[in-house]
Amino acid sequence: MSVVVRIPEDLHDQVKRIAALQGRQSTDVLRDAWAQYLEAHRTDLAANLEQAAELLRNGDTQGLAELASSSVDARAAGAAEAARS
Amino acid sequence: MSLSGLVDVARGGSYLCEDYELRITQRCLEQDLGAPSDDPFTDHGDHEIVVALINRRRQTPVDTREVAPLSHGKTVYRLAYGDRHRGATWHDEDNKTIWLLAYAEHTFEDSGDAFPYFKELDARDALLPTEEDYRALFLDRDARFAEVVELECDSLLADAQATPGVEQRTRVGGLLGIGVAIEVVPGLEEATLAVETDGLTQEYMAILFAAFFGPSLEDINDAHEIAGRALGNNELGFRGLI
Repeated sequence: MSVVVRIPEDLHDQVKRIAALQGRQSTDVLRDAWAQYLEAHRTDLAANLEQAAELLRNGDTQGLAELASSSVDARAAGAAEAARS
Repeated sequence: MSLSGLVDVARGGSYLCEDYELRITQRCLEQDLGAPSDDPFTDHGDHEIVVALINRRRQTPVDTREVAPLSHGKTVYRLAYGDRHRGATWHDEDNKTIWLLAYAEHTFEDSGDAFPYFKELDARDALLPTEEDYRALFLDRDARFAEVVELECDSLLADAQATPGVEQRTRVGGLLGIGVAIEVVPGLEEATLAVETDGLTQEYMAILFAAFFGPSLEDINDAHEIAGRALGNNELGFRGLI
């Protein structure tokens, strides 16, 4: 099954340029970028995972919502900036 | 895929449609509609322009006439209710939201007060959603995700366990597309999880991992296919024993 990925046009252009430079497909470049991001943030992810597991065990929906929103300020700032770009 | 069955209902500050949400910017609520910005969407449902927003925009994000030209180059559509009520809406595709950006009463078509007002808002960068608008949107979504994630993941996993080798899919909280497949070897079950990157945050990923694989990241490995298909362009794959 093929799924169409929707990313901002300027990012898409950059990804295409990087892929062309490396002689690779854009999708492979994107997937590698995600993998590198996850590896670089592995400590944070592991801590969040432990916290999430405990919240799920305790049925703490409010706590899960707070965990889900722990980066909300950065996401909001990014979205507002992107809307104006 | 619908928003987890939540379609054509108001939740928090949103009205949920099939593929996007309808929201009203805080500036529009406070200054144009004279309402508190933290009221739930349902409290504004009687206003003529909100009736138009729901009736028209839940069917299609586009309209026949634009508010143009605007400084940011966004395509902002006119929304009309009767002769007097005029609004401006923007389909924020990146965030799957249609925003009611502004509202004004309008005296005469094309020469009344509404459209110059919309352009004046645009000129002073007061038309588009602000950081606070997005913060409220994401908080609502995160709360919906947290409410349903365990139930939906358990249900998906049960479906996958009942049909080993077959991918089962859902959109958790109406937000995040995932697929799960189970492979069974004697005495062991391994789950493969495919997660769409659109709308994915590190926190959502951690919650999904916990729901499917348990508390340890060491037990989770990368996957490049699920149930015999290659992952899509916008998917990440993981696998682990359950």
